[in-house]
Amino acid sequence: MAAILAIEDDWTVGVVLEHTLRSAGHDVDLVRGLIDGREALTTGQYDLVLLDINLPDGNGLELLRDVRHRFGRALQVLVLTGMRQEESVVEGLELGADDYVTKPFSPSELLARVSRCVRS
Amino acid sequence: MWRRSGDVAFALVFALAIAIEAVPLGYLTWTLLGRIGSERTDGPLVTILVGVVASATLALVIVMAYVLGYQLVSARLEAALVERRQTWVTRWLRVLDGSEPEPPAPLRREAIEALVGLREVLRGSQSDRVASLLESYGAAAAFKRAATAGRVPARLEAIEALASARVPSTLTALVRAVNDSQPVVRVAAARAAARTLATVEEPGARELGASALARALQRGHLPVGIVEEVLVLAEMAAAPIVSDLLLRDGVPSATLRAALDGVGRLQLLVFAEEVARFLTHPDAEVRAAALRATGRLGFLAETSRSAVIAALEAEEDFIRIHATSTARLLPRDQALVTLSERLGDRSWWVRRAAADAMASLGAPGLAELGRAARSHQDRFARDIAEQALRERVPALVQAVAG
Repeated sequence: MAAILAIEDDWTVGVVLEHTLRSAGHDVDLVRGLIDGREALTTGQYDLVLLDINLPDGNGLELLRDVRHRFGRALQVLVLTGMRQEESVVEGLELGADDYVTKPFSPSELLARVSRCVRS
Repeated sequence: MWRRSGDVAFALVFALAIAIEAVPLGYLTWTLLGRIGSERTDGPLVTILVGVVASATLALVIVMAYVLGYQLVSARLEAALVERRQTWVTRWLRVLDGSEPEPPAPLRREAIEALVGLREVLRGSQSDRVASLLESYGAAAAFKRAATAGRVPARLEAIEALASARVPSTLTALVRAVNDSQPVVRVAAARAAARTLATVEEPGARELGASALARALQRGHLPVGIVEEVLVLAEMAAAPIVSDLLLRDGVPSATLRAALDGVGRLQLLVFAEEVARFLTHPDAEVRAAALRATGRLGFLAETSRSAVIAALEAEEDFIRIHATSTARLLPRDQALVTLSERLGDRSWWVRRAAADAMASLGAPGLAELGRAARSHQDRFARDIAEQALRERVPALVQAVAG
């Protein structure tokens, strides 16, 4: 099972992420913004980051750039985007995201993508 | 209220402003009270003055206490409400995965809000289950009642909840609200109806709903942008709505324009022939929308070529611009000749559209642009051709050199 950092400002999405991933046996830390996310990445050790693009204190893609700079490909990143945000998805994948999940999402699809990321 | 951000700063500024008033007034009251008690009293005038000053001070202190109290209490209430909602979201998730039974009715407000929030977040079978729960607990019916009667703010709130809930049984009420007397309700209802219609999967029911919404849009005289938004929100149901609007008589031109733009933006190629009918529409704006749609679809039927060519000579610049962009869909040789002529149009925008259209035709278009840049008889045509080519140099260099 994996240690996952979820960076998501919407509290309903956050609760769903926490519940779904914990039910599958993962350890989940949930933070609400980029600053908290950066701090968590400094202090904690994670296998995977679930990263929302639109955060109240900045664009999640900035953090993705930092993650790739600091951790290389050692840390998996799964980007969370809204519907009709194809450009963000493309940009995220170009910046090195391992996969993406579009909101709204199905919990089973989320788990499948998380498992795939963790396995690889 | 105002408390969205900067509430601490706001409270401090407010307290300071009130204190600037209240402290001197308090001092004045105290001084005057001292004079009443002393031998140097000035009679009832001072008493009245003291009363006025004291009541003003008291009023300011009450207002300050209320505002600061509101800040404190509302922040705590909001935090408590969020916590209760989060608890309910977790509880509903357990209900959905079968680890907890459904809670007994009636539900508290935050339980309903959590359920509506989940409907927005989840997709697939769990989302459908949330919609059934919203119906079985009577929440959808309650929102429907609140959406159709009462004060406008409460109705808008209910319509917004219905837009998130997207329960198919509420579609009829929402469609009816698209023709409400309040414009703001019409707009909110149109968006909510489109989102709800997008969840209707049975083909027959979807077509019926789409037809009803199309009729309501036609009668509702909604702005073009809203109708376009409705088509996007309707997702798979956009095609039957567009079909209804394009085939029906007497549709207002604004709604027709939105439907035509929807065809182009959503790439509904199935309507290419219908769009062609509007290339000769008497309303210039509708003609322009049909040209735009044809250009975006990238398909120009042989029978429609003459309409596009005729539109190239239209009096209105905006028609010529869209006709020029669409002219790239003519047979290649004809397109190159036609576009080369348009490079010399009296409008800069048309010249620009012609240059861009030629460049989009690949090597033959670029070659023709080169010829135009060197030897077109019109000086402005030579300029725009040269400009278009220069802008494409980096891309050309990259394509050749890698």
